[in-house]
Amino acid sequence: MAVTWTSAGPVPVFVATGAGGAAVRHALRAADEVDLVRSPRRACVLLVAGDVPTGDRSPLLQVHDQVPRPRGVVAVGARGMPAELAPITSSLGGLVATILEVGSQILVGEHDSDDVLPATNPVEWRGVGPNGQGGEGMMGGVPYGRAMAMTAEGSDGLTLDRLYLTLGPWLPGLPSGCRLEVGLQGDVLEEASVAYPTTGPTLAGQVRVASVEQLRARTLLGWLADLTDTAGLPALARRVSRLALDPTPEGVDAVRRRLDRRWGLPVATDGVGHLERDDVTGCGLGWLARSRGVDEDARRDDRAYDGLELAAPTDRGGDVTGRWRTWLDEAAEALRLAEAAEDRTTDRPELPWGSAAVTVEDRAVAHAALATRAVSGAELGRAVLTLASLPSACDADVAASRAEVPA
Amino acid sequence: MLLAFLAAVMVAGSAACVMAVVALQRRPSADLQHWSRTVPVLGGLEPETHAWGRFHARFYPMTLVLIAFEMEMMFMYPWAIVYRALGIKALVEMGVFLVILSLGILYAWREGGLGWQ
Repeated sequence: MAVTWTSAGPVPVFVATGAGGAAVRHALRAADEVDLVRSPRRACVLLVAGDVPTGDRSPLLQVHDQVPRPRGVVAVGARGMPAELAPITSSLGGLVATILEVGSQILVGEHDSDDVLPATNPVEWRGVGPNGQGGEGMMGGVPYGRAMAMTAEGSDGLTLDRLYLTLGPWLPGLPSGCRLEVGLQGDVLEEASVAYPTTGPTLAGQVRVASVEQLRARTLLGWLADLTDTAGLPALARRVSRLALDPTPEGVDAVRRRLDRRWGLPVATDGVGHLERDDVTGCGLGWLARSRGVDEDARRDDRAYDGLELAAPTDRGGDVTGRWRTWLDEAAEALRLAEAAEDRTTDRPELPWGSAAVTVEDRAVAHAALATRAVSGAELGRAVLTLASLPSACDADVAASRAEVPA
Repeated sequence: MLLAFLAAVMVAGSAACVMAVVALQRRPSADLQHWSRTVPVLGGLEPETHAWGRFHARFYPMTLVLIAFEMEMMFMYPWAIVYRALGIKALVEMGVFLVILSLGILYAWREGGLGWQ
């Protein structure tokens, strides 16, 4: 049996985040007792947070079985968990204590979660070649049910093998529930298709403006924490996650100063994932349009915001750097508005991820189209970074489909 | 005699190390051979094609350019030996050689050969 951690260090946890589970991810990233790992192979505990859509249940079982045994499964606010898994449920407040308890039990051999998928390859060997291939020479055939990579002409004019993969829906770095289908030649995406979940938070009835603006600040800072982590800056991501859980104007300014340093996040994000102004206009993603200077904001026509002096949007350029700078701008402004809004209420607010007037399905389709455009032809690492800069409502700090905006 | 003794010690030591490595190596346990733990981590899904394909190493033009220009140093060693004897003539000839090479670098740069992709 493989014990992949020691009792002295933090417990390695792989978080499978569904819609509405972002707050759990940030809480764990901020905790010193837990080490958020980016691969199930390095984990000891699988944590499922948020909604598990029907189509993502089978991939979740695969992720579960990829965690080395002995292992534990913990769920927080998870709806739609596969029946094969028997998680220990926890509240957000007691989550770290629960994980430590499960980790201790695993260490002394009192806890384990059995494999749920077959131990052997579900597809039979059907190769005919002497070295494992399925056909003549290196090419052709479908050994183990998978086609050998065939050649295709690449963007540089060379005809070489193309590898087809689908990344997600439980891959850290990608937005919750997002799937990225790629045809890879080397590390370049010669073909790409992005799909976003067609479910997500909706809002109905009167809500307090201050609550919406607090939600905006938490959500945008949470997106920044995830992007920073994906860019390979875990210490900074931990700091931003802590800020996302309890945002303050001073904290936002401090993070902005830290990010403005010459060698930091901009090195990874400058010039990556460029989107034109036309691409982002009218997609139902207000923040994204505003990042290119397009004044697409339902708050302009909302009488609840009269006299609050919304800042005019600034064109930050169409790359990933421009997007996270917009998040910081809007988070700082949201905190100011939350302070000034007092008891005002609204029924059609501009949500952090876009206008409430646009349906979740329409937004998902537009989001997928522009994300596909942004990642096509990019290197895989840059493509993942680009998608981390295009999160959806499912990564917001709000429970999915429950119309909840914390008061 | 001493050399023979040292050689024997080295052979015996090497054999002992090899046998120790073979004896101590751990075979993958049945747990690690579970199908799910042998497939790549993609986020819950499996690849549609075999990974047994030719990886497109897009940096290879840059490596070829590097090797080509590293070779110029080979010509500088004999040149350095006769430099004092030939004087200014050797300097001019090496200057012409380096100018030609520099044009080659500029050409490779213009064609995108120095980019990572």
